[in-house]
Formats: sequence, structure tokens, C-alpha cells
Amino acid sequence: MKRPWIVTVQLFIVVAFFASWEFGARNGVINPEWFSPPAAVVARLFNELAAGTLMAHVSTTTLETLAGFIAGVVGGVALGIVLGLMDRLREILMPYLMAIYGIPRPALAPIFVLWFGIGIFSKVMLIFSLVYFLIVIYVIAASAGS
Amino acid sequence: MSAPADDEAAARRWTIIGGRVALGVGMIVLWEHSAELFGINPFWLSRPSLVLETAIEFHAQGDLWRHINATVLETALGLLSGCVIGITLGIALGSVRVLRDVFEPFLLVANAFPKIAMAPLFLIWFGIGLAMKVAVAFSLVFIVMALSTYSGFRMVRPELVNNARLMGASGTQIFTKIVLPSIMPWLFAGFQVSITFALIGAVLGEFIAAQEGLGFMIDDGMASFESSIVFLGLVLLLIIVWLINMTMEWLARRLGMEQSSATAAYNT
Repeated sequence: MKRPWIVTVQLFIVVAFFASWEFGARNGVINPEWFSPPAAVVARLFNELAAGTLMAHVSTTTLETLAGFIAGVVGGVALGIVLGLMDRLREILMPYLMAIYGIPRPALAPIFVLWFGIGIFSKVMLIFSLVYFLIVIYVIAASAGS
Repeated sequence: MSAPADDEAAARRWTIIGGRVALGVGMIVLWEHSAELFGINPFWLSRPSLVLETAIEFHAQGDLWRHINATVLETALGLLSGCVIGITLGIALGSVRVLRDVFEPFLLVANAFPKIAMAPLFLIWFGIGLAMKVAVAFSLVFIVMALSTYSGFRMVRPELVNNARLMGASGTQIFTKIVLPSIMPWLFAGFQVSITFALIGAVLGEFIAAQEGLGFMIDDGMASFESSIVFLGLVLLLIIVWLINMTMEWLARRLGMEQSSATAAYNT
């Protein structure tokens, strides 16, 4: 198929998806309690925007993401470079790093709340734990490959 | 090889093994005595001995295996359903040009979307039972399997397919002799990621609502401020992940598959 046709079909799918969702929810085909119709979601968007609550939620999540991401990258690159240079230390630590890397980090969320409280810090630490070990392992892999 | 080089390699190997053992034992000892050494209340960190005691207690009540089995069952069902649907979708997208052109952006958006944010919705849709956990695990797995199958298809060398066709191979033959072997490493790499993702999905589903499972155990331990129970849950998860990784590495060696680095592109 030619490019304009593909885009047309894609647009059609998106529009048809939301239209049938809206239509279905309005006519009782699908339960609006379970699948809130798109129009209600948009209305809610404007309500929350006007009330100022939306931006509060968005900025909190953005701040948590940025703080955890930056701390994780900086710390991860530092340890990754050190371990990339020190062969023995790297080989000693590697199984432990891989084990921590393998823990499903979302499972740590409750214990992070216990340790770091219910504030922003526990979220930042959880993101840090996700980013840090990933970066360490990739920096080691990159420096080992060079 | 000369004898001194052998000695050196052996010495190096023993340094590494010794270092690993020392580090592992050291961490357990430090953890056990963290209260005396650093003044950390065991309320926060528990102790290995307390975790072991908790494990024995749970086992005596018959709860230990109940929780492990629940999580393993949810993981397995999510993995199985996700693989079946995901691979089918990947094959459809990979082999039908029109489908690929139309649906590729949707697949990429679905991959980038943080699906674990949808978990609370799954509670409304699928209830508090097994189906909800399987659905969370499924939602993580099927995208990974669809994308890896589909990526594998893109790596199939067209000249091989053309040559086979010239030599009179049928569609089925091309699929089983050329396409399938080419996409196998991708399927394998995707599967490896998928197992962990399925486990994450099961545990997250249990966090949201459950009566059993390791996620429930961690959540329940948290609710009663029993860090020993939380750590027992985490240690059991760690053991499961470790066993899975060992098995997959062994399988990869047996099948002669390279460990693919294509695994980072997937998103929970």
C-alpha cells in the first residue's frame, strides 16, 4: 500500500476505536462504569486543568522521574566505569549485580515505603534502583566490548 | 599452555571465587548483625535468621508452598497466553505486508506505554481472582513476544527466501526451513525477558488484590509491619528469578543461542 493510504487506514482505526468506545458507552453496549467514555475523560481533563490538580500530579510524577533518572544515570555510569576498569572486582561483583538486576523492582515498592516513607523520596529511590543497575550493567558491557 | 600461565589463571579464578564467597557471606553476616554494628532496628531490615525462622513458620502452617504455587501459576498462565497471542500477532505482522504497515506504530506505542499503570483497571475488569493477575502478566508478555517475533521476521534474509522460492520450495517449507530458524534467537531472547515480565505482572497483580502469592505475602507483611515476611517474599522471588536465569542460560548454551542484547528495548 502507498504511504497516504496507510496513514488514512491508521487514522481510521484510531477514530473508529474511540468512536465505537464512546458510542458503546452511551448506548449501554459497554458498561461506562468500567470503560469510561472518551468524552468523559476529556471533560475530566478540563476540570482538573481548571482546578489546577492536573498540573500538580503531572509535575510531581515528572519531578520523581527526573530526579530518580538523573541520580541513577550519574551513579550507574560512575560504578560502571570503575568496574569496567577493575577486572577482578567486576568479576567478583557481577553475579550479585545480575541477581539484583533480576529482582522484579516493583516488588520492592512496599519495603521502600517502609524505609523511605510515603513522600517523594521513596519514589525517587525506586526509580533510582530501576535505572542504576541497568546503567551499571550496560556501561560494563560497553567498556568490556571496547 | 605453559605451567606458569596455568598457575596464574588458576590463582585468578580462585581469587574471584573466594571474593564472591567472601562478599556473599560478609553481606549475610553484616545483615545479621546490623543491629549491633550499625544500630539499625531489625524492624526495618529484619535479619537472615529471622527470615529463616519466618520461612519455617510459614512452611509449618502450609502457607509457604501455597504462596509460591499461586505466583508460579499466575506467571505461567500469563506467560503461556502472552506467548501464544504475541507470537501469533508477531507472525501475522511479520508475514503480511499490509498489516505490518498499518499496525507497526500501534505496536510501538503499546510497547512504550507503561502497562503496569493499567493494573488498577484490570481489577475493575477482571475482578480480584486469578484472571486479573494473569491479565496483568499477559499485558506485559504479549507485547514483548509480538515485537520480538516481528523483529525476527525483519531479520530474515530475503535472498535466502528468494533462492528457496526459485528452487521450488513451498510456503510451508520456506516457513519451517528458513523463517523459523531465523526468528528462533529472537523468540528465545523475547521469551527470556517475558518470564521475568510475567513474574513482575503476577506480583503487581497480587499487590492490587489477592489472598495468596508472593506479592500478597510482601504486601501483607508490609501491612502488619513484619519486615521478616517482606524479606522472605523478596528472597523467594530472588530465588525464583535466579533459578529461571540459570535454566535459561543452560538452555541457551544447549541450543547454541547467543545471549541477545536486544532485551533492553522492552518496557513494563
